[in-house]
Amino acid sequence: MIRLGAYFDQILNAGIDPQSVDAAELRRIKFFYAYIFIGIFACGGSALVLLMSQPTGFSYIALIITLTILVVLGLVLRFLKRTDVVVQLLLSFFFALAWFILIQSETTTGIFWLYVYAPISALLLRRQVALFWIIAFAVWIAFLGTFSWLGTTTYEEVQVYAFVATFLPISLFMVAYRRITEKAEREVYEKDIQLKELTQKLEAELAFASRSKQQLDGLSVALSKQNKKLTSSKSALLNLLEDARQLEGELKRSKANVEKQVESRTRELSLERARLASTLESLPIAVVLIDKNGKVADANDKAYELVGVPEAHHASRVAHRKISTFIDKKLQLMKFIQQCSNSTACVMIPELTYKDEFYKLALGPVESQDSDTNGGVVVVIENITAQKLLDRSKDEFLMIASHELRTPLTAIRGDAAVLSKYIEKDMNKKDAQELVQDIRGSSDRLLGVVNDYLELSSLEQGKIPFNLQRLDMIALCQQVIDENRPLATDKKLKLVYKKPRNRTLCVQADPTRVAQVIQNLLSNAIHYTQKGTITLELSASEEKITCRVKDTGVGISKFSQKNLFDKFNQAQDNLLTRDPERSTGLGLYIAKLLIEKMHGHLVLESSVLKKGSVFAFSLPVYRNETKKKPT
Amino acid sequence: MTKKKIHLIEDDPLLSRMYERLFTIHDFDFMVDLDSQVGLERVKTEKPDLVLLDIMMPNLNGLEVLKLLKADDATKAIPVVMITNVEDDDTQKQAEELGADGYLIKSRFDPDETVEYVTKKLK
Repeated sequence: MIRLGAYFDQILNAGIDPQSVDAAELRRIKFFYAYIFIGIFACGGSALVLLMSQPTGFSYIALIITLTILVVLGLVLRFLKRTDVVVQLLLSFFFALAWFILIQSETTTGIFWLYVYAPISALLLRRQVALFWIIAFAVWIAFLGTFSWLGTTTYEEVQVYAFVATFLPISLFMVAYRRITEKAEREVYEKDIQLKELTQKLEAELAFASRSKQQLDGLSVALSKQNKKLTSSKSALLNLLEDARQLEGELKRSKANVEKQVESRTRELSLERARLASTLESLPIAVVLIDKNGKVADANDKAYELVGVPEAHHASRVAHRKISTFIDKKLQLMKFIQQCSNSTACVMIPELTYKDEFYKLALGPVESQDSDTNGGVVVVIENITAQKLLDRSKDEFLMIASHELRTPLTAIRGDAAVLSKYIEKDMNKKDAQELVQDIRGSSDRLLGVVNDYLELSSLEQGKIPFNLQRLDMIALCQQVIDENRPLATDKKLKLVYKKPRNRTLCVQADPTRVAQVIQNLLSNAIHYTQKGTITLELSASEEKITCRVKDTGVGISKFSQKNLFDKFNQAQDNLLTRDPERSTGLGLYIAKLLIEKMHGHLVLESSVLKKGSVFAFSLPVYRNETKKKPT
Repeated sequence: MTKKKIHLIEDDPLLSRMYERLFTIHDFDFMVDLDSQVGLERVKTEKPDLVLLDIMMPNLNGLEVLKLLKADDATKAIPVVMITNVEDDDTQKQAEELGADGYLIKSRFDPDETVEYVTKKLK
């Protein structure tokens, strides 16, 4: 029953969607319906009344018109999809019809129709409409009853009054009711709208919130990413810090190490410096360091002493200037200094005289890391006055000795010769002859000794200059041989000269000295040979020319060979056994010295006791280009 | 044959006496001067055949005398032999440059050799 009612509610409301129209519109529509109902009912009712009172054709026409209007209106409304209104119109017509019938006929028929009509309308209509019909019926009944009771008015009048009395208030009631419900409906509608609005707002906000949430999520993701990055950066930073700390530690350690090294190096340097300084200071010669501008950069104690600067003022500028003056103006060394500074070789000045003092100088160019001293010159000054004087006294001694010793000896010898000549005439004075011979012999020997000693002295001191020249050995040897031939013949010895087929064999030597050597060897050979042959042999090689003196004499023992060429040697095994005719034992020593000074060699090649000896010396072959100096 | 005149200028009396005896024995006309200045003059006046000149002498030394002798037209033709114990090559060279005709080392030449040398130089 309820479901049917809901279904018909739906039909009635089909045309109106209270949500799609606003409250005002709804009200208008409902008023419109109300008016239509009233109007149609009034027309219908009036027509019916007319019909009843005067059932003329006009009343029937009026009814038909009303019906037609109803149908047309219904159709139109149907067309406008207002079926609910159509239904309500039809129902209204049915009421009118029912009323008509009531007034035409007896009351019971009419009531019968109403009894039928009421439930039908309750089913088909809205509750409100049904209620309306019931109330209307009740009022009509009441009126009817009242007026019937009163019996004052006619039936027809009563009907009219009843009609008016019923409809007007009911319509008004309906309107009022409608109004109230409308108001409620409106409120509901408004509330509904508000709710809708709120819902929309909420939805919007929800959407916004969800968007925000999305954003937030996004931010959160980004944040977590950043967080991760931060964490990794943090850990990287921590690592770096750790490394930095380690490095710091290492740095400290190596710094300490370097400091230690620097300390030890500084100490070493100080020591070195101290050593160097003390070396320089202890040198008995003056050392002056001159920088590249020719100014005195440094000097040692001896240098200051040299120019007479007291110790207190050593290393002062005044002192330096004094030294500078000494070197430049007094010793006049500037040109040497410049010469040295421009080259890489040392400049040696073996002797320089200044104010009765003799100096020996050496200048060396300085190559140093220090830009000031680089390009400068080191000047070493040695005062050799004492040495020079010594040399001079040696020279003087030599000269004097040479003269003073030999003069009387020469006189002795000469006189002895003269004496012997005097005595010659007197053959009887044999003893006197012997005396004279002895005198001559002694003086000869003495002279020989003195000569040898002096010569040796001179040689050793390098005082004897050598005239190295182109010398033909063949001719020279011939000369010496010839000179010694008488001596050899006297001793009945054979003297042989073996020379090669060359016309000349030239050496670079001093003729006098070479002659002296050959003479020495030959006379030795002759002296130590009692019988046999003495051979002088010349031979030549690519580099040198060799001269050999062979004898068949007594020979030299192995023992004596050891110091044969030493000073004061005599080739006798027994030191006490002296060779009476041998003078000094210097002969071979001098000969060796002479040969060596001429870049040659003198050796005993071989010697066999009682068989003989071979002495040989060699000299370098003369070459055009070689101009050697004696060693 | 006339005896050759030898003039010796030598400051040492020992040696001068010795040479005088020596040369006289060997048949020479011999004169000696102990003083170089006197000797120089005498060379000019006496005109010997040969002058024997010592080097180491007071006042004028031998080389100076030699120079003077050779500078003087009157005496430069006379052969001069230096007779000395100075064995210095430089001195020898000097003497030769100054015009000495010989250089004789006293102690190296025994008397006979000395006479021989002089005889040679006279020729």
